[in-house]
Parts: sequence; C-alpha cells; structure tokens
Amino acid sequence: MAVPDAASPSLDAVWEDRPGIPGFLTTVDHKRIAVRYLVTATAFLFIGGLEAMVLRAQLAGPNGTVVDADTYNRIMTMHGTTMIFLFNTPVFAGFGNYLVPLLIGAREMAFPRVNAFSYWVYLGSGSLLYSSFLLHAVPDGGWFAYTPLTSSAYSPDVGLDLWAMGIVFLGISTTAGGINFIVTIFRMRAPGMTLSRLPLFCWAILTMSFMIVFALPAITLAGVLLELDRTFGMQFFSPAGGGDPLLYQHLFWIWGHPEVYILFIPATGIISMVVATFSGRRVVAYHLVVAALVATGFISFGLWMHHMFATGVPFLVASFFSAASLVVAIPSGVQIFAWLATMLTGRVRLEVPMLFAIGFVVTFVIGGMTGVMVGVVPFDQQVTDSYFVVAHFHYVLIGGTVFPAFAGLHYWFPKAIGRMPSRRLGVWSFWFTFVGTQLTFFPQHILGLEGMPRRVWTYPEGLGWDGPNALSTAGSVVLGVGLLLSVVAFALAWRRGEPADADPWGGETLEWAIPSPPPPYNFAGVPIVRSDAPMWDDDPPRAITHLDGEDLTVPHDGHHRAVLTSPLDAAGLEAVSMPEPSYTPLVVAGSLTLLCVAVIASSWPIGLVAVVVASAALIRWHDGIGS
Amino acid sequence: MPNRSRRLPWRRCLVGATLALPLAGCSDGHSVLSAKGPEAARVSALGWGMIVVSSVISAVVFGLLAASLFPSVRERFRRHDETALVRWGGVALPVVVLLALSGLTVAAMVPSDDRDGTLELTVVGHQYWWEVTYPGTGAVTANEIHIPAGRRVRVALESPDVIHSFWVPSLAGKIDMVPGRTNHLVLEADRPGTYRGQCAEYCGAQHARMAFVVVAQEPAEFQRWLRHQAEPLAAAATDRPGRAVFERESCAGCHTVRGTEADGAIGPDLTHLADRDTIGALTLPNDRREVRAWVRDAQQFKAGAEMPPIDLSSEDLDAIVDYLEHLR
Repeated sequence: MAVPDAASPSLDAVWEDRPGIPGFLTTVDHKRIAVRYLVTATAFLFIGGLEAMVLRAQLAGPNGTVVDADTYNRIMTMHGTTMIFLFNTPVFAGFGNYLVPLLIGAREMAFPRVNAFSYWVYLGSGSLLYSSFLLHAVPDGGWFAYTPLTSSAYSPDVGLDLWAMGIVFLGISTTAGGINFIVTIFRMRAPGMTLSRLPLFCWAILTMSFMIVFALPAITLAGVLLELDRTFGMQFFSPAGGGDPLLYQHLFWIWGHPEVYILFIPATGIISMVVATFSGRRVVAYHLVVAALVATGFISFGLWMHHMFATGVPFLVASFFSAASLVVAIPSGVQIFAWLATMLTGRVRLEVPMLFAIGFVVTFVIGGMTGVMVGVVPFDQQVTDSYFVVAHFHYVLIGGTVFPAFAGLHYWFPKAIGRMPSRRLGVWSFWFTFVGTQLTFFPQHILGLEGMPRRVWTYPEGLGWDGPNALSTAGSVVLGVGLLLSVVAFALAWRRGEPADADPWGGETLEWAIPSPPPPYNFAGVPIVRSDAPMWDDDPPRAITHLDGEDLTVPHDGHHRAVLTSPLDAAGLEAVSMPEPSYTPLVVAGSLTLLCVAVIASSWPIGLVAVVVASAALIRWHDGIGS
Repeated sequence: MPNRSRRLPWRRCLVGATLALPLAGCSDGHSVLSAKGPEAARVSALGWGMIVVSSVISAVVFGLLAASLFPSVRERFRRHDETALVRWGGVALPVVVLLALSGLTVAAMVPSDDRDGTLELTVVGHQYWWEVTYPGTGAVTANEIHIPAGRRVRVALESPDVIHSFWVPSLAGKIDMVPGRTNHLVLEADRPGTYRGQCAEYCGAQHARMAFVVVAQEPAEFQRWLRHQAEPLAAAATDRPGRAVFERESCAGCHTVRGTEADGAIGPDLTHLADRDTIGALTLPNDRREVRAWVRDAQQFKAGAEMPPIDLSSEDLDAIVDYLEHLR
C-alpha cells in the first residue's frame, strides 16, 4: 500500500480527540459521529421491534387480551414512527457519515460541526418523542398522523404535539446532514475521482441528499401547520373553517413517497459495494446503475398520490400517478439485474455480508412485485389500508433497508472496529432473519386479500384470519432472534474478536487502503485515484504528500488540514483548515431541544432562555477554526 | 327469541364470530379474490393475473440468483456481453410488462356507465358505526346495508368526524369518507347473500370494531324491507313500559326512534333495531343478554365509543331491553 499511513505521530496528536467525557461531547470526527448514529439507530430498531412484538402478541389470536385498544393504537403509532424516523433514516446517515469521507479519500466531512450538531438534534428529537412515555401521553394518530383524527378535538393530549414537534425538529438534523453530504461529495473527493469514478455508495448518498433537501420542507410544513391547528386553533385542515384534511395528506406524502426512496437508495449503495466485493468484480453497467439511482430520485417525487387512490381522486390524476408508480419499477429493475449480472459474471463468495445482500434481493423483489400491484389503481383500492399493504411495505422496508443495513454492518465492522465479527453467528443471524421475515410478512398478504384492515387492535374469530396471524406472530419471534444474533456477534467481536487487517474482504474502494480502525485523520497523504475501483488497479494508489509547499503528513499550525478539489473532475487541489472539536454543536442542539419543549409546554420564559443560549452559541460557532 | 323467521341464515356466521362457535363457509364473504359482484370481479381478475405474472418474473430472478452460485453457469455467462442482461432484464422486460399493465389499469379504471334504475343510498361513517339512509324513503338504519341483488347501487360516502374508509372486499374496492367531501362508490352483488365490510382507515380507539354487513336481497324482498324500514315505531312497541324509561333516561338524547319523542342524533337510529342482527357495528349479537350488558356498560365492549355507561335499576334495564326487542 503506497498511501503513506506511517504518518508522524504529531499528526495523530493534532487530530485525536481529547480523552474522556470532554472528547466525547466535543468530537467532530465523522467516524465517531457515525458510530454514534449507528448505535443509536440500532437501539431504536430494537425498541421499535419490541413494540412490534407487543402488536404481534396482541394479534396472535382473535380477541387478544395482551393490550387494550388505546394501548395498541399508541404502540402501533410509536412502532411506525420509530422505524421510519428514528431507525431507518438515521441508520443510513450513520453509514454515509462513516463511509463517504473514506470512500472519496477525504479526511473529514465538509462541515464537521454541523455533522456533530445533526447527531445531537437526532438524539434530542428521539428523546422528545420518547418522553411521551414518561408523560403518559404517547401519540396515537398512526405514524402518518392524518387529520382530523390528530386535531385537538379528537386527540387532545400532548402526545401529538410531541410527535409533530419531534418530526419537525428531526427534519433539521436530516436536512443539515443532506447538505453536508452534498458539499462533501462535490468538494472533497480525492484528485482523479471524477464523478464517473465516484463509488456507487456515494452516488446513492448524493441522490438521497438531494431528495432530502427537496422533500423535507413538505413534512416540516405539514408538522408546523398541524401544530398551528392544534395549539392556536387555526383551520388549515378543518373543513368547518374552510380547510381540507386532504391538504395534510398531500403535504405528508409529497415528503412521504420520496422518503421511501430516501431510505431505499442508500441501501442499494451498500448492496452495490457488497456485491462487487464478494463477486470479485466491479458492478456491471456502472453508468446504467448511476442513471437508475438518479432517475429513481426524480420519479419518486411524482408518486405521492398513489397513497391517496382511495380518497376519491379524479380519473385523469389517478391515471397519471398510476403510470408514474409503475415507471419507478424500471430503475429498480436495472439495479437488480446489474447485481445479478455482476454475480453471474463474477466469483461469488458467500460471506455474511453477501448472504444479507442475497436475502435483500429475494425479499425486495417480492416487495417490488406487490409494489407494482398497488400502483394499479383498482387493485390498490382493494388492498390499500389492508394487511396486504402492511406486507408490501415490510417486504420493501425490511428487505430494502434492514437486510442492506445488516449487510453493511457485517461488511464494515472490521474496518470500523478493527476486529472480525463471528462468521458462524453471522450466518445463523442471516438465516433466522431471512426465514423470520418471510414467515412474519408473507401470511399478511393473505390476510389483506381476505379483508383484514391494517391498524386493527383486535379481530373476531371465524373470519379465516386466525391461522395467518398466528404464523405471522411466530415468524416475528424468529425475526427478532435473527437480528439479535447479529448484535451479539458485534458485541462479542468488539471486545475480543479476531483482529482485522486493513483489507479483510479484498474490497475495491479506498477505505480498505488505510488501517483498521482508521486513524483520526483517515489518510496521511491524499490518494490519487485512476479508476472506479482504485484498490483493484494493477499498482496500488499513490498519494500526494506535499501541496503548495506544505507537508500534509505533518501538523500545520496545529490545525486540522484537509484538501478541497473541484466539483466535477476533482482537480485543482487546495489545502484548508477544518473546524476542530467544540462544545457549540451540542449546546445549540440542546438549546433547540429545550425550545421545542418550551413550545409544547407553552412556556415563554423557558423559550426565551433557549433562544438566548442558542444564539450565543451560534455567534461562537466559528471559534477555533483556522483561516 | 323474537321474530326468528326474519333472521337471515348468515346470522350464524356473525354470532359465531362473536361467540366463538365453530362455523363454516363464512370466510368467502369478505375476500378480494372471490368476487361476488361485477365491480370486485374486474379487480380480482386483474389481481390473479398480476399474481401469476409476478410469480413467474420472481422465479426467473431467483433462478438467476441461484445460478450465480454455480461456477459452471457463471462460465457460460462470462462469454456473453455482460450488460445485455441489464438491458434486457432490467430495462426491456419491465418496460413491456409495465406498459401492458398500464393499459389494463386504465381500462379497469374506466367507470361503468350509469344504468337506468340505479339505486342511491347514503352511508355516513361515525366513530365507530355506520349510518345508512335511503334518500326519498325516510328509511334510516345502521351497520346493515340492504341492497337489491343484481342491481347497481350508488353509495354516497360522508363523514362528520374523522376519516373512515368504506370497504366491502367481495363487492368493491374501498373509498374514504372524508369530512367536508362526498365520495361515491358503486356496489353490486350478483346474488342474494351477506357480505362483510369494515372500516379501513384508522379512525381512533375502536377502528377495529367498526364493521358492517351488506345484505343483498331479491328485489321484491328488498322493497318489502325498505317499506318497512321507512315506517315509524312499531305498534307492538307503543305501550311497552320500557318506552317511558327510554325517553326519560339519557337514551333519547342520543338515539332516535321515529314516531316518539326520542330524536337524538348522536347514536344510531333505533326505530327498527330488532330487525338488525348485531349491535355496536357487529360487536355483539342482538340478543337479550348482550343488549342488556351493552346498555348497562357499552365501554366494556367498545372502550372509547360515544355510548356512556348508564346507571339504571335492574327493572328499568329489563324494561328498556324489552322495549328494544319490540322495535321491529
């Protein structure tokens, strides 16, 4: 490996965080922040999973008595909210944070403090949502919180205020993260990494980030208007006051449908990396796959009304959205066949990440097929809001995001931690997860076709729903065990796994060029990229160590130095000083959380304190950043 | 038990559904894929077609996936242009299949023509029951929608509170009831029978206990039923002692019994309650024991419903139940 990783110890000294709690609270290291994202998101996955187990226990048989109607509805709301907002979106923010700088040969994200801020806001909004349990006011409006059910008339307790504020607040984190990824990918790529050599994972994150920037304002607006209706008696969604409940649905799904792809696209990025490595070749039809990613991003903004086919949509509108819903299957088809062609022309190694990738393809294809079916308006009017749709989106979301996330965790764990997770446990975990997923969700297709609506807290016997429900509940236990086994594998490996070398899988991209775990500055010199699979070039990538008379491998005035390049062809190198660790991101995020609490509690003194603290911290945001 | 002859055979299913009796043959009363009317039949044909085609495509993908694990197959593939599979499988195949499907979709969406003699009725979704009115007749009922078999019925769907969704899987797809709007849906049953329906849009605590039935009858029988439903209080009930209790207690504040002082508009019209086979939107069978328990404390069966527990002496309770049994 010719990238000089034998940097002087003094570089370590400049980049390393302070030890202990202060270092923990002030760090701007994208890798530490990423691990935080991944750990927090996984914790929320298991909290959401536990909620799902309660729901499945209640529905295991007819007339269940595990929970009452009210409890069921609240837990059902938190399950969906947790999985979409607190697990699924953040888990890929975690992967993106860890990997984007490594894959493009950069030392940092473009805005390290914004990055730290994004994480703290995520933690703050998650805490806000879950504080509803302490207040005995868990939201009960379903994860998409349709009005008028969520208006103050029908849902008077504070739970929905926490929900709306939590979602709006989380949007700040997601949006900031998206902008950070866009700038990082456009300005910090290693020299020679033109856009057409950008690793597919980075293309996926780039597409996702643009989608976030354009889609998030819609849900922010929906949440703000809902909160204005609830707390100030405005009438945006109330027909009595000239408002319209369907306006909320439009705003929600203008975000909500792109959101599905905001979750799915980074997952496909992970799959592309895993399939390439374990097929021992580059992904076939790279340019088509990139085109497919970008096309998915665009088309996904033209689908939102297919969530509303049953609301009484005019014929022409329904036809348009139906056609768009079918068209979006084409780019997914391109990606699936590109991976198949890669595997068919490569040499497949069935390591744990690859097993999860194959499990993804199988599960996602089934979910994709039912996805096409629900794009067909008359069929959708039958199955929407039934268990068929529950089956469909769990196939797409578990198949399309949980399998890839676990493929990614097994694949990059050795890089991040420097130890190998147990292959045996990983294989067991895969099989339990895979079988559990099919067993839990396949019978739900039948339930939907047999007329079982979603979100019912109970059902009578004699409708033919008992058997599939029992099977589904049994499957959910298997699924839970499967995911838990992976976590056990990671926990064991973290403490005493086999040490991993720099490139345990034989990967194609730059993260495998540096030690496992990577040093805090990632790359001592700036790698020069000459192909889209730099690690598989005939001779390994070389590195630039001197730029404009500055030796990059030694500290420069004690600052974090990173290299910027031009947006399209990654040329025109320029060394700049990056922001260093600081308390300000934490203070700003904390005071904004307090501001949310103040709004919900209608407490102006607390709100004033929060605003003053946030402003003071923002004024000092740039402290300690070199010129 | 009063008036057994009027009860329909499907009653066994519903009672079975609530009282855990074994039953057979009811489950095809609410299935998307076993259509009982022309509206649902169009969709079930499309549904079966899509299930078959997508199974074939999935099988091909899974076959290729499995093939990639065998080196001998891989050797054969390596000799071909590697992007061909992506172009044919990933682009050409979905384009052809989806274009065809798009055409079929639009064809299936074209609304069928209004035929002469289309019956119109209105269903209003409430938290958590269904109000059914037959415009121009004065007939009002709840949770039981009678229609003539073999005739097109245009249903106007409304909601005064939150969004509900009207779904009878074996007869038609669902349409939402959105406050401030009126949506329409066409129901048609080929043959007399009973078809189960349920609210499909999460509408609050008891969304799960907001079911109903569509009862398709021979047209002549339906006309008799409709004429009867339009009539006010049955003569047999006029001087039951429970009537006074009903009107004195809180019952009359929420429920209407046409032809009496009870004209509440919050709960279901009870003028012909005894004709109905269930109470509480299919929550309980309409039997003396259950009705008594329901009147005393409906919350134990349907927590969150509007009907409050009613504090009555045992005699008053019996009188009310007797009165309700005579509302034919």
